[in-house]
Amino acid sequence: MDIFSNPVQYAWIVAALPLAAMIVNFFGFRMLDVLTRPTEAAEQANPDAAHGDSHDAAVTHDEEAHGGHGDDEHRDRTPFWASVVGWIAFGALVLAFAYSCVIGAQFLGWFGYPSNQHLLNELQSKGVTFHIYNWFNFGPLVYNIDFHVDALTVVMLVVVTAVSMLVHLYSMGYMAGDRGYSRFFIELSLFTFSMLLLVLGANFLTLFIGWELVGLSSYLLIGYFFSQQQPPVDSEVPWAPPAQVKAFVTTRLGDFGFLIGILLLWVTTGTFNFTDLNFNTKTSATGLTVALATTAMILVFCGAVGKSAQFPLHVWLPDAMAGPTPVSALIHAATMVAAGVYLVARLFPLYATVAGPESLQVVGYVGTFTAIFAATIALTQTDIKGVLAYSTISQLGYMFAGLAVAETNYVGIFHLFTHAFFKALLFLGAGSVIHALHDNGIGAQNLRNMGGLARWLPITAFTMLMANLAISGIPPFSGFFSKDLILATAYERGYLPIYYILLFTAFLTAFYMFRLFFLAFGGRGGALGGLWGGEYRGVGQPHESPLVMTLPLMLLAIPTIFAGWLAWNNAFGEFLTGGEITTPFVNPFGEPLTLVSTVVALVGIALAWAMYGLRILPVNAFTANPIGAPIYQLLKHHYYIDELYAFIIKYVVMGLSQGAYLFDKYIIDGFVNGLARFVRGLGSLTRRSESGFVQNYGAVLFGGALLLVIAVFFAAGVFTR
Amino acid sequence: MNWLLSVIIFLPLVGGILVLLLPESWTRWTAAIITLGVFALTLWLYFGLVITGASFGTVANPAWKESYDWINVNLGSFHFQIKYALGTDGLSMPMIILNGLLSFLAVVSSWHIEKRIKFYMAMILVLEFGVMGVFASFDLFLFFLFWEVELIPMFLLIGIWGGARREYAAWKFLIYTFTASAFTLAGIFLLYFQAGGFSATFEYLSSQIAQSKIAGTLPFFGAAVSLPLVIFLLLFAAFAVKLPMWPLHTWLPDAHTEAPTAVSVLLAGVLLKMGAYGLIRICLGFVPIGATEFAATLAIFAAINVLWGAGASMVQQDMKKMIAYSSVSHMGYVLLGVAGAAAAAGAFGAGTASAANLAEYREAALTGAALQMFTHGTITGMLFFCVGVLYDKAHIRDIDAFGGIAKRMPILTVLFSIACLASLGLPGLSGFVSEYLVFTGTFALLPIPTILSVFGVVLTAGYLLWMLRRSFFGPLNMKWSGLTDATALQTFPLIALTVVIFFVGIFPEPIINLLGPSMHYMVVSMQQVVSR
Repeated sequence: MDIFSNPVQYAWIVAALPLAAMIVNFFGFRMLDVLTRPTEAAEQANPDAAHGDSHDAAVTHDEEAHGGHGDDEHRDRTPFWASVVGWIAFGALVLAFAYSCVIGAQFLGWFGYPSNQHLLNELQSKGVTFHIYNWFNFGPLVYNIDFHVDALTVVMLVVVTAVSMLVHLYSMGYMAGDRGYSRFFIELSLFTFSMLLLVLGANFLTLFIGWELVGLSSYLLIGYFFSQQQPPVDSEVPWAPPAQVKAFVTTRLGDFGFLIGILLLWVTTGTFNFTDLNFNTKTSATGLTVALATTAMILVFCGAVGKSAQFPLHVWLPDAMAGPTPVSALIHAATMVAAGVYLVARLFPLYATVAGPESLQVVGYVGTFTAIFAATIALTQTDIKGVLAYSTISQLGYMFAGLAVAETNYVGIFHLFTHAFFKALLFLGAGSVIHALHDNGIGAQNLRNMGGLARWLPITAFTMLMANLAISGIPPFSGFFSKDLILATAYERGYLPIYYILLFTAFLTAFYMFRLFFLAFGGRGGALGGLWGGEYRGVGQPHESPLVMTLPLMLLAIPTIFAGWLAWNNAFGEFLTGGEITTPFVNPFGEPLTLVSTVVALVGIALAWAMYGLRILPVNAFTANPIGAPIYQLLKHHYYIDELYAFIIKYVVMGLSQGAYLFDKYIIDGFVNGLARFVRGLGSLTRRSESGFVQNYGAVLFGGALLLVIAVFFAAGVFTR
Repeated sequence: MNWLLSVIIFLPLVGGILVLLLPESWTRWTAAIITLGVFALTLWLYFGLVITGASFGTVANPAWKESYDWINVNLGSFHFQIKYALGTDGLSMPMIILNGLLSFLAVVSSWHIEKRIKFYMAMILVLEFGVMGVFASFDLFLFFLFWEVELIPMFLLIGIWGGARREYAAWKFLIYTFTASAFTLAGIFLLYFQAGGFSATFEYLSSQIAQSKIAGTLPFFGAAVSLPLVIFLLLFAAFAVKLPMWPLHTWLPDAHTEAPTAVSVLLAGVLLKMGAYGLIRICLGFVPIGATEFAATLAIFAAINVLWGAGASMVQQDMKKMIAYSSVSHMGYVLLGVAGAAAAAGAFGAGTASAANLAEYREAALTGAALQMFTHGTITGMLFFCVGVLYDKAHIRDIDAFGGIAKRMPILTVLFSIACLASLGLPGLSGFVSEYLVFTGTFALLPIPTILSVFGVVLTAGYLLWMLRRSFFGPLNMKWSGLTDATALQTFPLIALTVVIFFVGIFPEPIINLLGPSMHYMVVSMQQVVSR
């Protein structure tokens, strides 16, 4: 069958699988789940079965104020039909992942098809475009839903389906017993489908549809606990209902620029098609000047800034933790934030060859600035997910810097690839910790209430240690290869400011990640100098998560440790670009430059060890002085950016809006009402002629209009012509 | 079937009389059956053409044509002729179908009304009659006649069944519309005589326009003003009020807020579209030179509409008033698309794909505007239905008075969210298609107003999601713990509109194919006139 001999031809199946699962679940099994649920009255009669805690709501449930049972409440067992929903969603993702791998194998030439080496090269370097269906055309202006599969798409397909599949599996344990279990899995399917649509899109129209649907899915999932009470402000835990709106509107602000960029390219080239735009755009032959192209690409990058949470639109991502932790893993690793990086990578030829160099410089400097900016904030956060959220923002900055400094897009994409695995692992690990501590109530996410957890959660602790080493860039873990590639490329291509800033950020990264690790899993009195186990500051008895949750952690640890080797001899780069990488491969282990970055990371780890593990340096060593204290406050409050935006919204946006409304109310309506009063005053003089019936007004109107016409005609000289 | 359009127009009128004659216990069913029958007939307008493979028609060659002499006066050199001429093309047919659908849903959603139900239903049916007439007329005077007919039932519906300030709102609606109509009538006479003074059928006018009959200048207190521009502006007066265009829009929030649910739906769904229809059909179609001269200004008004409406929506406490202002904002996209179609020249050097006069971009813009008329009708109709359900249950519409009611009304929450997402232009739902078309078309011609209007998309997301968040999400306000979800009868109109919104959003091809030929013809003939 063709489906196996030439799998790329059927790449749409990958996206269709989660979509089908979503539709079947929504109209079928979710309905059964809702209908077979015990009624509210029955649950109230048996409060023990219905009452419990959710992991992420992290809010003590006050029955009085809460007013009933909701989707965010926990029960002992997942109802049968709800678990069917989960299994169908998971099964669809397993198949989608398997098929993505099959497509990947074909790209590697393992299938003997295309049999011809030339055709295989063609496939690898250019990819294939498939027409799905047509929206409409206006002459040469074509609005199509098309898919395009090339090496970049294949990498994204594999990453998205792999991470999403493991998140599905993990969620079966994490969300077990939740009222909204079936809703959760339907939204996960939608999220995955949207992301797959985004990466499969062959033109701006298709990509933008996926892009916006990703935004919708994240809106739904961040707001999963839609009836959550507002957490206390000092808990640093974001509140779901405002967070979901913030995520959608902030990314939309980026989409505003993105859409203008699309329009600019569209009206000058007449196409949405990436292949045409990337490879056939000649600035001389179209209305597209270099200046316009540069402007357009910077505007397109605005969309990436929003979706990938770069400064200054990063504010939504830390709040997005309000969603259940598996969702955070999905958002931070494979979907949503990856979309912006993917977008720039997808349009890389336009950035690099058509637009002026300023466009990539903007990408690079925004990324670099965001990397260090977010890393400094991460130093001070005490919410375990908060640290991870700012580390994601920082790592995304690395990716953009990697895209900007290299000749091809593989440097940035390789970091996206490795980061997807270790960041998913970190978030799922954090989820496992929260799951272990959720009896603690409000503080379950706070690092202050942890410590020594490695003793109770050995699997979680060990896999998270692997991810920590990877993100810190310690050889031979995956993050080392990808981060080093970015640093080395920046250095060799002469982007020295970017190199030094990112190098320093690597130090910060290693420090704050191991700070997190020591605070959560290690501490005073632990083995190996406080690395493993130690004093526990929380209450109750933590417990390791069930296998359904630890299995994804162990599976993710494999690529976290080994995926970096894919870059050996430029293999990853050559796969992605479908050709030779011009820069010769340099063995990172034989490089003085590598030594520098590794030493820098080790210093960061050592400092964290000294402060939080061995405790030979006081924790407030840097903050208990007149210079450090205000800086600490500044970082702790995320540079007060949220406060600034709140101010702008409250006084500028709402002020202008209020102004518009008051103008309507008092100026326009004041004028109209005044006029009416004036006319009524006149009318009282001729009261007798006013009958109050509508038809009389009609007659007057007709006569008046006729008079008006005759006057105009006289003025126009119609009758005297 | 040469009488189908007549049946569609007059069946509601007959139904209205029937409702008044029959006993009150039959009122609801009679109205429902009549409106459902009319809706079925309007669908046949479409499917009848699809099945036979006939063309959907253009202004010069309408489908379902009917034409009879009505008034024919000859006074010396003056011919004054009004024909009973009907017809449809791609521009009017979606509006006729939409009117059929929304009138039926309006009757269904008014099931619970007790106050003078006979008269109420009769007025809804008379309103349907008037609106059908507006969209099906193919004679300028007949068009104007129907235009005025629609006023009376709407005035009474707001004035009798409205909220606390109903009389103010009803009079405001009436006076605004009437005053503007006077200018339009003057414009109609002027157009009629300038175009030859022989016939006022749309076919005749469009053939005359092709010969550039309307040109030159008009002495105006010593200054020379462009005659086409004068005619355009006179004609546009009533349409601008109806659309509504800033700063003539303040009747709309009042009328919407005070009107009963079903009437708000019809007001937003089809009555505003009469303004857009008149603008495209008459102003743009018959006075293209005037339209071109006014296009840049119109685009600025469009951007103001979009941003002003969105801003005013942001600060509303009353849900219905917020949606009313969002209508102002969304009708701005229609104005923008029309301005793009009429704009004098492109803003960028001609791209490889586009012809020198950017005809395809104009076509995209105009088709987007026409599609926006339809999508806004369904989406805003659905929003008003949702608010109506909530109001029936809670008897208030204050956004902040609710809180967390998603817990109690999961079905309404889902449907209300779908309507909001469609309104903010989420892909996969119909609003995105029309907005995207308007933007991709207009940007080539009027980039700055387009950029400003695109920003409206961000604001729309802001105020709609913020409203959902305040009313539906968050912890449940215990005051509403007794709230129950929408009933099956209340859900029915919402589901029906959801299906339409999804279908157009995912498969826009059929409706674009319906709109396409008319828009193409219009842009081509406009270009011929303007470039001459």
